[in-house]
Amino acid sequence: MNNMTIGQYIPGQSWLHKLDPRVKMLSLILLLVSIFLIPIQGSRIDLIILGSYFIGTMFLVVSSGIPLLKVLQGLRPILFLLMFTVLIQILLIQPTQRVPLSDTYTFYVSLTSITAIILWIVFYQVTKKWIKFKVLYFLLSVIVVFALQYALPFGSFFQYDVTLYEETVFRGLFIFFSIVIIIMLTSLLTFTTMTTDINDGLEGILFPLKWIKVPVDVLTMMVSLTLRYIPTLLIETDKIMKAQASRGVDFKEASLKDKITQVISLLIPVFVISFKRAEDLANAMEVRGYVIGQKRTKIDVLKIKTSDYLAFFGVISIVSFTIYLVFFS
Amino acid sequence: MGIQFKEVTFRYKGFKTEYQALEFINLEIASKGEIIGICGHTGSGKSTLVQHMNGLLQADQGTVSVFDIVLPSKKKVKLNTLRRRVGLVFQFPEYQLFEESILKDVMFGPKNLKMKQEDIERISKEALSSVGIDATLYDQSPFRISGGQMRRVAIAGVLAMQPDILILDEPTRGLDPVGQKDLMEMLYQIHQETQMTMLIISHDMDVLGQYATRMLVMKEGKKIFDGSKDALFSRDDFLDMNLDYPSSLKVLKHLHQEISIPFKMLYTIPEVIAYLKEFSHE
Amino acid sequence: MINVHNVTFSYNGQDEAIKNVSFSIKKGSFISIVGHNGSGKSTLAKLLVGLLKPSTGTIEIDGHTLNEDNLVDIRKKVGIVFQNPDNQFVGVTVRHDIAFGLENQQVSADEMEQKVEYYADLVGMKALLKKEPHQLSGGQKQRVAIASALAMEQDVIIFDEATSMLDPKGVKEIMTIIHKIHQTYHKTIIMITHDLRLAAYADHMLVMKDGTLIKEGQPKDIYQDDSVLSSTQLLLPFELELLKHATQLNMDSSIVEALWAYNLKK
Repeated sequence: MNNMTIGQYIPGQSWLHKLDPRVKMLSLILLLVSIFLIPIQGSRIDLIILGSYFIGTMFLVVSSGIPLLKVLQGLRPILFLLMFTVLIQILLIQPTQRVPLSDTYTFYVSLTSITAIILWIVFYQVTKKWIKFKVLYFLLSVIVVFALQYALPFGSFFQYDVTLYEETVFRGLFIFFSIVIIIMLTSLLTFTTMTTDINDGLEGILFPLKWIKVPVDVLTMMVSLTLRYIPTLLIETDKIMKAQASRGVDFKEASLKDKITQVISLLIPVFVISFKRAEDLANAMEVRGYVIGQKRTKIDVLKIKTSDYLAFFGVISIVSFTIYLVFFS
Repeated sequence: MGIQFKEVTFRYKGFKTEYQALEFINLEIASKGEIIGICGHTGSGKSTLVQHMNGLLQADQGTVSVFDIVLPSKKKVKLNTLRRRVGLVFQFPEYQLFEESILKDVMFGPKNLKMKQEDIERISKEALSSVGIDATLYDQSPFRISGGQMRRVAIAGVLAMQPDILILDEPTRGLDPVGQKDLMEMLYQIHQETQMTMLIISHDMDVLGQYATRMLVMKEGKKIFDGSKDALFSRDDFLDMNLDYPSSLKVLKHLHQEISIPFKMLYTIPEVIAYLKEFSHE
Repeated sequence: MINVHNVTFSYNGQDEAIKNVSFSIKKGSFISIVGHNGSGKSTLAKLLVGLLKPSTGTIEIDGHTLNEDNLVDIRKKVGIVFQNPDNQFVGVTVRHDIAFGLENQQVSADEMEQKVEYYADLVGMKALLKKEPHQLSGGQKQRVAIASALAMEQDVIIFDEATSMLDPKGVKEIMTIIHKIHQTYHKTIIMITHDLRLAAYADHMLVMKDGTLIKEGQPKDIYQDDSVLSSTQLLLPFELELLKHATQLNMDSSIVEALWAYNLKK
């Protein structure tokens, strides 16, 4: 635990690492907005625009020096949902223009196919711990499930036809890739920017709010203190869990009523430690001259460089061009 | 019986690092009678070692036998059966207090172990009295007493589980000198009454010198010494163990160097005074 | 440098925690304040840095009477290192923490960078500037706290049980640095502790009991005064206790002298 660092920052010397965090964050927002502006109608032009964004993102990944697999890790939690959405798009939605891309295939939900699917799912669950590329294995399984429905019509009690239509396939691919791009761009931000810089960048971007009396600097200090204490709290929580386990706390063997007490036995100590900490910290900060709302300098000063101007100009151009293509042609 | 370690090896797997926390530890601890001092530099594996004794951690290689239970085990083991026999008091144990009243907090352990209802309250009260907390405080909130008292309540919480072996990780850390003395005397008295084996992890060589009957020294995950106090402090390579001598031995060494009083392994004030009297013509 | 006149203080609605205490501390001296838990030593520390306001009496620092209006100025003169290494570490990294006080003083970024490096080096933490607090030992965190106080260039530094939570190695690290900043940098040191071994390093000692200052003087005089120590629940370290018994039992002068020599050579 002692060697974990806050946030997902991976050190590096790429130009992406060196960009001003404010530029990176504003660029991310602008790029995300412009991706959302591209309509999901399934026309070829829109797919080409998206394709260009994808290539651009890949270029950024390569130049950042962050391994591709790491950037794609952000997809893991939503992979299932994504696959599901894409499949619904391709298989179930009836397009307005029926331009078939493939022949019509018949899939059977039959005794044999269901038995085979169940056997496959069991096989998948048992073998998946030995497979290294879990994501690919999952995709493979999805394909197998459908292949089985195609290949085993015996004892069928329900069948459905699937034709791949140009429009739905494009839409499916579109949704898939736009989400992949969004996740990759956001991951790139967190991998190439230190958490303290993200916090400073946020303060920089939000400073106009100060004019309407929003205490941006106090909020930033709160975020900074939270970041500082997360690892410490995790270590302390671990210690308390062990101490209570030594007093017989055993989640698996406890009744519901006991479970509640056991959870309380973890929460209360953490709260007590945190309140004491808040009091001590307030004293320490006050003695070191901290006054809420008073102007302070910072040891990390964000300076805009030429590369930042260029990068931002590039982003503005891309976004403007996208808007032009989408709305005016 | 008691605790046995056979070639226990354990690798600590952290977020970004891994290191060998324990290497080929062999150890036998009887369930009655001993006060064992465990010392070594910070990070030498002392805490990791004791967490294997109540099943919080399990060895990667080798086995740990705690009374009849052997870990790691292929069968499912209810770890609470271990924890009822080996009590572990962590550093700054006052942080584990949470209940509305002192008595309720001490009853938490026995309740979790599913001890008999009729016994739980009685045993908890006995535990509280053995640590010097009297009945007027039973319904008091554990957060409204002094730090030293909180620590005693926390220790009572583990004693109420009636362990055969009690492990204490730095029990005196953070207490003032009188608090330290009182706590150690209290623990010693409990030891004398119940003959419960106690393992005490400490950096305070004076405390260990005074109370321990056996010493275990850890260094970089290995057990480098297991034996008597006298044997430990006579070793030539003692200073390589990152340890300090007890104050009594330092003074006696000085007296030997300056005025040639023969050096003798003594650990308490009364012992040293009695000894020095022999050389003093009043 | 510091003058405390007839100060009394009580926490809201409770008994007096400090009862009519008066003393003076000369610039550049090393003072220890000892007493049992609850004797008022930490309350006194908080009064000296203006975290608490006396109910009656005055505190004068460098000629200025401490009051609500000049707190900012007083805090430029008096710094404090508290007991819990984790609860005073504000910054996300060592570097940010040492800079915290300077940021509050609106020092420029370049000057800050220099000062942070200089003072980190002074306490031996220069190589660890980018480390986060959970990666550091207790002793290292306290060293950072000292560097923060030094960076603010305060003349007086109070150590409120700053070593109580540390292991022996950590205690040694901190005591070495305290010595250094007293001897080399001529800071006024006020060390609050219940460890009489550490308190003996001071030139002058104040003994607190139940909110009252019951004695002040040189450590070696106080340690020989039985009436004082027995009433304060403070324990003499082994070697001093031995010396006391040997003296009381009228042991051979050679033994007593050798024990004195041992005690003084620290």
